[in-house]
Amino acid sequence: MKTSVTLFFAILFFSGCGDDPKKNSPQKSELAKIENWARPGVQGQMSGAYFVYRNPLSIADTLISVYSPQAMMTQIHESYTTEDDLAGMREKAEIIVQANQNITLEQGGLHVMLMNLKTDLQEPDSVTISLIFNQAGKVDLTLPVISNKK
Amino acid sequence: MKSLFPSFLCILFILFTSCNTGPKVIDDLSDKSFNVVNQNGEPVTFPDDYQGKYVVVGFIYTNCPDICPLVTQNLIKVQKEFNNPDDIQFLGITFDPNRDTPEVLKSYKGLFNLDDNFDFLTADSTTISELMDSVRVRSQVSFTQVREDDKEVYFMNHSDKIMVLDKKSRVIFEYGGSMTPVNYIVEDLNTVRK
Ligand SMILES: [Cu+2]
Repeated sequence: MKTSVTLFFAILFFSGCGDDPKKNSPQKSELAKIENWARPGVQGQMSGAYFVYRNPLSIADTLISVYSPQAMMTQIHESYTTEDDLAGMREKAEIIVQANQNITLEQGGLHVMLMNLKTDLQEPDSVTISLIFNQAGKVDLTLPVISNKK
Repeated sequence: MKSLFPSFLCILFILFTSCNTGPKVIDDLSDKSFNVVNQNGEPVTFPDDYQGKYVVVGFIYTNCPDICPLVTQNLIKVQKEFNNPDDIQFLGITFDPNRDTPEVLKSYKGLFNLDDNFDFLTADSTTISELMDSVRVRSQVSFTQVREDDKEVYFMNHSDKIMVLDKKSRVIFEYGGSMTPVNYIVEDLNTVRK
């Protein structure tokens, strides 16, 4: 009898009352599909833009700057987690891209930082950016403004 | 057989203490009261004014174009999953009150097409830092940039967090704000929301 009572207890303890597993771990797969686009923004404020660029050359290239006529200042930034577990971003001075490889700017990683927007950005506006490469020179991209991006 | 009676009591005790208490309370904010304002400049007492609702809160600053919109978008996705319910309030609270005035938050809200159950809150910097302390959200200026028009802009390192309050203003769930799959939040809310 005693054993069965103990067993019953054991089952009770280990079945119904388990804590949920920790749910704080980042899941990159949740992030958006890769695309060329820009966030909506308010004049004088910030926006972010994202793109994929494929180096068509047979040699490595380096992205050394980015420019947009729609912002007072434009930089390539990288979101990262600091040593004490805070979310931050920092400027990325250059990005090397090997021959026939991609540079991918996506949410939660690299972004074009558009600072002090000259006008509001809303759908269906678009943002023009110029990428300056050591080898390929100037590459212009037009990115549609998308709100509530998945 | 008589000897089983105490065991039976014990079982009842276990059932009622360990299984029926719902999720663990992470922080109890019910004794806290912060005077803040929403994006329309209307005074709000947080969390008191939201008692009786579940509250999903994300922490943001509007000069953050990458991580913080992901936090806001996650809240929007949760709201959509539940089909804009009346018993769940969504809040974005800024930890950058110097720049995130009600007017700035109003234009920020305008970027996302949001309803009345989705508000952005700010306050004076003392209140905001007390509020952030009480929910263990940290932020600090990371670097300052001089713009082409010679004005300085600063950026911040900050906790990346979404939390859920129950109807009694107790924090019952916490998540990494920008990267958490929305279905985790939805499933957790489903377990408590009847
Ligand atoms: Cu940035």
